[in-house]
Amino acid sequence: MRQGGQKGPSDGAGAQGPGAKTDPPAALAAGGQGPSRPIAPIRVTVKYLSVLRDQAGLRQEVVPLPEGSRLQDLARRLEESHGFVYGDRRIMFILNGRGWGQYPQALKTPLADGDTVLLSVPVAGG
Amino acid sequence: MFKGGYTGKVLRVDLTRKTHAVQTLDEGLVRKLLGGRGVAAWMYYHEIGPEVDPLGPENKVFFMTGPLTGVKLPSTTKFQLATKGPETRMYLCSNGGGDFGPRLKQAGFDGLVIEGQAEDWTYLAIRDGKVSFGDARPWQGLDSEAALEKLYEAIGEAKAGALAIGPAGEKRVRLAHINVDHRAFGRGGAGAVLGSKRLKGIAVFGGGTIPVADPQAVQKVWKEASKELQTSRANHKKYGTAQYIEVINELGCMPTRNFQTSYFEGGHEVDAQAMKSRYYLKNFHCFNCPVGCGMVCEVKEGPYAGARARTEFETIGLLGPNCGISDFGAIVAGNQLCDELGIDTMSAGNLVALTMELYERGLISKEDTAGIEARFGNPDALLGIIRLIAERKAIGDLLAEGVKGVVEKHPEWSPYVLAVKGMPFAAYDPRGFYGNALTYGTSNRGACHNVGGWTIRAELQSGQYDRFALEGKGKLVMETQDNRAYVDSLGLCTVVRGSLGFSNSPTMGILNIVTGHDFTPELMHIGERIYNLERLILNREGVGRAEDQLPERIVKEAIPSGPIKGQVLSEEMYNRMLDEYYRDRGWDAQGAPTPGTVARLGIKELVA
Repeated sequence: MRQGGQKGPSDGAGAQGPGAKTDPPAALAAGGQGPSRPIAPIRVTVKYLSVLRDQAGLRQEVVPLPEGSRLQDLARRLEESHGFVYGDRRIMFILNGRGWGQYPQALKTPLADGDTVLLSVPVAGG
Repeated sequence: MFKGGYTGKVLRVDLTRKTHAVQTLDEGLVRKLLGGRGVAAWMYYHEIGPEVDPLGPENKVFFMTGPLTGVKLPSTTKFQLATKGPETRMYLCSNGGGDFGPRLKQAGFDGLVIEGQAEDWTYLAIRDGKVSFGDARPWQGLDSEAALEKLYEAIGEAKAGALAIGPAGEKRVRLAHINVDHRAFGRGGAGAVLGSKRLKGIAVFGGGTIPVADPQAVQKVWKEASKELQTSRANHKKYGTAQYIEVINELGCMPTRNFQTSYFEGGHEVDAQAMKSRYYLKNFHCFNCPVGCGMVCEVKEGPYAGARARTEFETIGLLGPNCGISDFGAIVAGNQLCDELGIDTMSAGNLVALTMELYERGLISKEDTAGIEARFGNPDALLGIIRLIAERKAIGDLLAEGVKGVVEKHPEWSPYVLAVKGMPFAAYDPRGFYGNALTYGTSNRGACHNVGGWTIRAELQSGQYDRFALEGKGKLVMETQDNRAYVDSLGLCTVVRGSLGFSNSPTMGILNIVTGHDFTPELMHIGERIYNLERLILNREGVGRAEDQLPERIVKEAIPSGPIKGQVLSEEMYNRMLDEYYRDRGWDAQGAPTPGTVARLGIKELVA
C-alpha cells in the first residue's frame, strides 16, 4: 500500500482501497524502505473530467515527475499548465479514488509511479 | 399567524362525493414541521393506517407546498406529496417541481388533499378558491404530455399549473409517475394512486399574490442570489446533472448491467460532452429558476431521430450503463417513452436491467418478452421492455407490480433485484461509497439517494469521512437526511439551497424575511423531527431492521472490474454502520425511535 505499507487515508475495515491496481509494491513506493527504488521518473496519469476537460482542452495526460515527488509538486504543475489551483472549491482533486484532503499527509503525500489523479467538478446529488 | 409564506388554508377534495372543503393550517403545527414534506407526513400519520391499500379508495394524496413555494426567490418551484406508495406498499414522500405548487398557493392554498375515488375518469380545475370537476373520459389513454395540454386548455390561463398521469397511471402500474408541468413526482408510483382514483389530472390557476414579511429584503436576496447563481451554478447551466456521469463512472460507482459491475466501458458515449455536442437543444427552466439545469435533448439522426426528452443524470445512468446501453439517442428515446407513458425512469431502468439479466441467464425467454431479444446493450430491447411495463403486456404485467411484486412471485430472482423496501436503486453503486449504502438502507422511502441523504461529496472531500471507512457514516448520513427533510419542507430546489444558506448549519435568515418567524436556528432540529415522524409511520407499517438491509448482490459480490475492482461491503460491515446510525439517531436495535427520542423531538404531542 501507499507510504511504505501504511493503509489509505483511513482504515477501510479490511476493505481494499480504490486504485489497488495501480498501487505500487511497498518496496517501490516513494518513501518506502525497500532495497530497490525506481530510477525512472514517476508517471502520473491525470484525467480531466466533465467541465474541466473543456478547460484543459484534453481528456487526460501522463505527467512525468522526478523521484520523490509529492502531491504539492503535481499541484504546482497543474496550476502552471492549466491554471487549476488546489484549494479552488470548484475543483475536486482526487488521487487513486480519494480526495487529496482525505490523505493524512495531504499535499505532502508522496506520489508513486502509476498513480491516477482525477480533476473533477464537485459532485452533488439530486 | 405568520406575516408571509403561508396562506393558512388547505383544500380537501372528495372524489367519491364530488365535494370539497377548506381547512385551516394550524400555526403551531407549521412551527414544528415547517410545511411541505413535514406537514404532509403529519397528515399521513393521522389519516392513513397501516391497513390501507395503496390502490384502494381509502388511500389519499397529500400535496403540500412550503413557505418558500412560489415566493419571488430563486427556484421556489417545489412542493411535496405523501401517499401510501404502490411500489413499496408503505409511506411514500415525493418531491415535485413545475409551476403547480406556486400556482396552488396563488390560488389561496398551502395544500391540497385528494380523497376517495371518482365514479369515472375525472379532472379537477382549481381557479382561485373555486373547484370544478371535469369529465376526463375523452382523455383516457392520452399520454401525460398530451393530458397536460388538455388541462392548460381547460383552465384557459397562460400562467397555470397542471399535473397529469399517462396510460401507465391509468393501468395502475406501480411505478407510474405524475407529470407536473413537464417535471415529475417520479418515484414510488404516485401516478398509480391517481389512476386508482380515476383522476387524470388537475389544473390550477390563482390570481393572488403570496405575501412576504419583508418584501424589500426578499427583493434584495432575489437580485443578489440570481446573480450569484449564474457563477456558482454555471456548470449546471452548461451541462445539467449530466456533468456527473463521467465523474461517477471514473470513481467506479456507475451501475453497469444491473449493478454487476460499477464501471461502464462506454462511458464517453453517454457523458455530458457527448450529450451537449450531439443532442442538446435548449435549457429548461423551472418556476423562478435563473439556472435552468434541465437539458432538453433531441435525437437528430438514426433510428430514434425526432425523440426529445430532458435527460438527467439518474435517467442516463439507469437507462444507459445499467442496461449496457451506450447509444445516447436510445436513452433520450427511452426517457421520452417513460415520460409520455407515465413511468419513473429510475425504476424503469432497474426493471429493464433486471429483465436483461434474467434473459441472459436463461431464466426467461422470448416467450416472456413478447419476442424481444432482451440482452444488455440492445437499444430496441430498452424501448420494448419500457413499453411492456407501461402497457402491462407479457412480462411487463409482472414488472408493473414493481420489484416487490416480482420477488413475491419469483423469490428465486431476488439475487438479481437491486432495491431496498421495494424501491429500486438510484444510479450509484453503494459498494463505491459506504455512506451511500447506509443512505439506501435507511432512506424513509426505500433506496433513494435524496431522501436517504446524498453523502458522496462529503466522503470524497470533507477530510472527515473516507469513502470506504465504516466509522462516522451514521452521523454523516443522519445529518444529510435531516438537512434534506427540512429543505423538502421549504418549497425550494436543492440545486440552489447552498446559495440561500440552507446547509447543515443554516444561515442567511431567508425564512425570517419571508415568514417573519425565526426558523433558521431550528431548521436541522425540524428536519430531525420530520425524519423521526416518518420513521414512526414506517415502524407502524412493519418496517424495522430487517427492512433496512441491502440486497444480496451488494453484500455478497465483490466489484469485478474497473477503478474499484475487488471492493466488497459485507453484511457484517454494513450492519456495523447501521448500529452506529441507530445509536446516533436515538433508535433501538430494531430501528425504532426510543420514547426518549420521541419526547426530545417534541413528536409526542404531534402524534397524540
